[in-house]
Amino acid sequence: MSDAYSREQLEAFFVKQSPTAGLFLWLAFRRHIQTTEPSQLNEAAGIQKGEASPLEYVQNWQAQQLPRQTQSLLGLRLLTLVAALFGVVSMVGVLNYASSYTVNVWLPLVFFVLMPLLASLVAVGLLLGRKGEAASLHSPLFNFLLQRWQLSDYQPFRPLVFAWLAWRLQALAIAFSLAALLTFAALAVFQEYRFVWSSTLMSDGGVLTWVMQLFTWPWQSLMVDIDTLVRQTHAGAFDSLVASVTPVSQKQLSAAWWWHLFILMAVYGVLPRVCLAFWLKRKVARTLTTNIQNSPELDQLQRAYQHQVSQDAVTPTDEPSTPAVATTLKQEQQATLTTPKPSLSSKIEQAIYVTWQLPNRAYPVERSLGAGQWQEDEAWVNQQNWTKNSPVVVLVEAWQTPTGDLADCLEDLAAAGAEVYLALVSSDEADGLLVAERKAQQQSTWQLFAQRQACPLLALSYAEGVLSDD
Amino acid sequence: MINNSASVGAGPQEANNTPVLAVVGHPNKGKSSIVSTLTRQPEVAISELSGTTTKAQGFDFSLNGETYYTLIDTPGFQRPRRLLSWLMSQEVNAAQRKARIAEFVDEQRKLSQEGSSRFNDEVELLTPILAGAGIVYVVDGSLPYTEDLEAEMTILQWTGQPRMALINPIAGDAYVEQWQAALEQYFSVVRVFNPMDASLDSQMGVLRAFAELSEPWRRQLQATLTALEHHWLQQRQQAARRVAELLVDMLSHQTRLKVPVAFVEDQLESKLKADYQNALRQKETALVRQLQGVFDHASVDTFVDALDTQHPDLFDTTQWFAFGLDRTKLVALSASAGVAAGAVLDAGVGGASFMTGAIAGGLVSGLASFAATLKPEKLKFKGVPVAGKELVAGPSKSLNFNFVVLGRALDVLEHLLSRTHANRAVGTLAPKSMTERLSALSKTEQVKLTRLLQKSAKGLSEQELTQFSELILTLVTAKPLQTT
Repeated sequence: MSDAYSREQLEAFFVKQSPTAGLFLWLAFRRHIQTTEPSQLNEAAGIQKGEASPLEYVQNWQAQQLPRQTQSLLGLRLLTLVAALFGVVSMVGVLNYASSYTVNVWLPLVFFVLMPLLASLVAVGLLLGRKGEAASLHSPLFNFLLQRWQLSDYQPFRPLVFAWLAWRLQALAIAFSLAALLTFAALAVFQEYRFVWSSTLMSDGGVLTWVMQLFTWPWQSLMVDIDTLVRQTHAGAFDSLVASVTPVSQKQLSAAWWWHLFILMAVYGVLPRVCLAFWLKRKVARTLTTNIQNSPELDQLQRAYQHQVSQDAVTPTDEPSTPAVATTLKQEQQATLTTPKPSLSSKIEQAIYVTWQLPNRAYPVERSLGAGQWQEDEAWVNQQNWTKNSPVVVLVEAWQTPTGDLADCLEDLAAAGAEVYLALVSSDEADGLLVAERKAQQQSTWQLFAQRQACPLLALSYAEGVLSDD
Repeated sequence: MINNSASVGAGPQEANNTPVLAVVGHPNKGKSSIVSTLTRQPEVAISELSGTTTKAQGFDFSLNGETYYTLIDTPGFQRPRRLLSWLMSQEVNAAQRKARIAEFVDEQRKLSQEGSSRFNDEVELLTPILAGAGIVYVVDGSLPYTEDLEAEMTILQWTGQPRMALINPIAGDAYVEQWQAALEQYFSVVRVFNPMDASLDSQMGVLRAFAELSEPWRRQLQATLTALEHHWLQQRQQAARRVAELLVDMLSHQTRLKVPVAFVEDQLESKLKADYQNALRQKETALVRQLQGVFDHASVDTFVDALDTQHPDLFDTTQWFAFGLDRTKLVALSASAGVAAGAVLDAGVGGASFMTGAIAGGLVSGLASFAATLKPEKLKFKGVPVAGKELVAGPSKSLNFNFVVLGRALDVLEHLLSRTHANRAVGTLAPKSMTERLSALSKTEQVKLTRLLQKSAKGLSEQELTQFSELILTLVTAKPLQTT
């Protein structure tokens, strides 16, 4: 047997990895065990050698999986990079869509504060309501992501994959929002932006003030008064030269807006996603751990290591790899019992009949061998004057099992000069002990024994005190 | 020569307290079968022919990497009369009997090296006993007791090792009482044990009997019983979970087919249906194979092959009555599930709907189910015939079909739960009516199961999967494991 190991060690192997690596390693492992033929698994487990442990098996298997896993993780990182790039491009677009570096505050507010917040709330609602999971099964997004990351094989483990996808989507959203936020900060360092607001439908600043007051409520006391900020911004909103505002106060105004927007984007665009991602990451880890604990595959691997195969067993099979003895057995099994017709009939009438370990049967026999001391049997055998014309027929019943003891007896008889026959007696009493199916099996056993002893096997029947070969 | 399991030859069992028992007896009495069942080793060679086992070999019963006990499969006694005669040829007192046997084994080993020993089988079976193994003597309870076996029992008595007898009713229990009367004179513990269909209780009964043999083994065997029970429960849960996962995978499966040009649409419809059905058949076969793996019956390859030929085809609607539900039950359950779903909506609006949701849900669901049962062979799939430029079959919308799939999976699970490792025969499933199965569940659970089957088309959440597997477990554990 291999070194001591436990299921807990195997579980820890998967759990200790990062959630993504652990999850896909685990799912690939489940697929591997489920799709591997048990005989191959046993062989792979090296049970004959008993050198490795299940843990080593998993480690070796992981080494083979590593290139594929690395490729998948690379794809994932690439996608995160794309999301971040999209964030950068979006922010650059929002800040620079107008000439003269004038930024309509509604745009960053809507694209990087309100929409991400709304999306986060929807995500929370779906996740808590468990509707998203069910709805996702045949959704184009879910299917696209499954195909994008080559996860179609893992459909049967959907709850796990879904939890992971939900987490990764948050991570992508974080990459987008964070990249946008950093771009916002970076561009402001190298470029002087003026924040104004304009809208076709909203002619006064009431809505903007309300929105800003609502969103900046937690830190309102620490910042510039929103009402003043909006009024001053409104005053200059339609005047690109900002006639009523001095350059100094315009700078202060822009700085104030910048800070507000920066904090709003951080708090409402990034923070909820970070919290959500953290929660989902824990959920993935928890679901993965539960899945590992409740899955049978680790037990299957362990059992493969615990399998033991009978050695030197005689098995009737015609497999190509079977040893010669088994082939012989197969052929012998196929042989049929022969009845002594017609040449033996006359001999049988003159034969000496003995039974083997059947002292209580009423067969007309000279002696019951095998029932007392073997020395007595041997003495009796040696006392007889055996001739070719008086063969000895050893009567047995199909339910009995041939043993070495009987083989010795047959050998002794042959050595004493007797012409020995073995006969399976069929009688009501004997036949009643075996069901038909088992009778056939026992006959095969006797056939095999007789061939090994090079002794003809006869089939006799007994009825009304008479033995016959009918 | 002992050729396996380190614990056999040198007697380390005494050092680490792992019970080791040699399973001995006359040839062809089911010794290997008993070893296979009690150690859960599916690759112990078993044959109806006498003399399959030629070497003594230890098989471990291990769980979670820990060996709890070892059973040694041995060849049968071949020359017990001569062996006993040899032993008795020299007068020895009771204290010297074991040494006398050891003397015999040593002598025969020497003769064996010279190629002239006739007692190879006896040497094989006595060696582990001399090394400290306990004795499990096996007889066939379907055949009469014969006096010639007394030589074997006397030899075992001479070893002085703790010993028990197992009566294996290979083809019936006609002579069990006769055997009991005889064996009780030689063995302190006698039990009836059929390795081919032994229930967990029966197996645990034998282990308890092992514990009676030797005081030092008692604690270890108690631990074994606890571990075995825990393992059994865990295995059932794992299997039920696997069934739940794979059923959802089947019921939510979709097969898609591109339609290159409009006029081939009709031909593609039949191909789509065939593809869909084949995909589900393959998934069902995978389910069976995976369940075999869970219970370590995977080496019985013929099981699945036999299913292919003997088990009704999944889409043979004439056989659905055997697995599914009758119309009344189906409509009632469907309506109840609709009511339950509608009631959720009612609760969502704070009861302002005056139970309209529940009533409407019950009516719609019940009527839909009733309509579906009128022509059960008309299995309709979502998206057929056209979904854009793509034909889509599945997921299954037929509640009856979902019950059929569940019923078939439960049959396989139930069969494997009661199958022992000694049983190498082709598995034959006995379909059990779903109506009968459902009686094991409360009304609420029945509705819950129906809802879960309906929702399976869209996939189930982690929590729902857990609920589903618990219901599956209840459906198969409702009856006693097996009568012994």
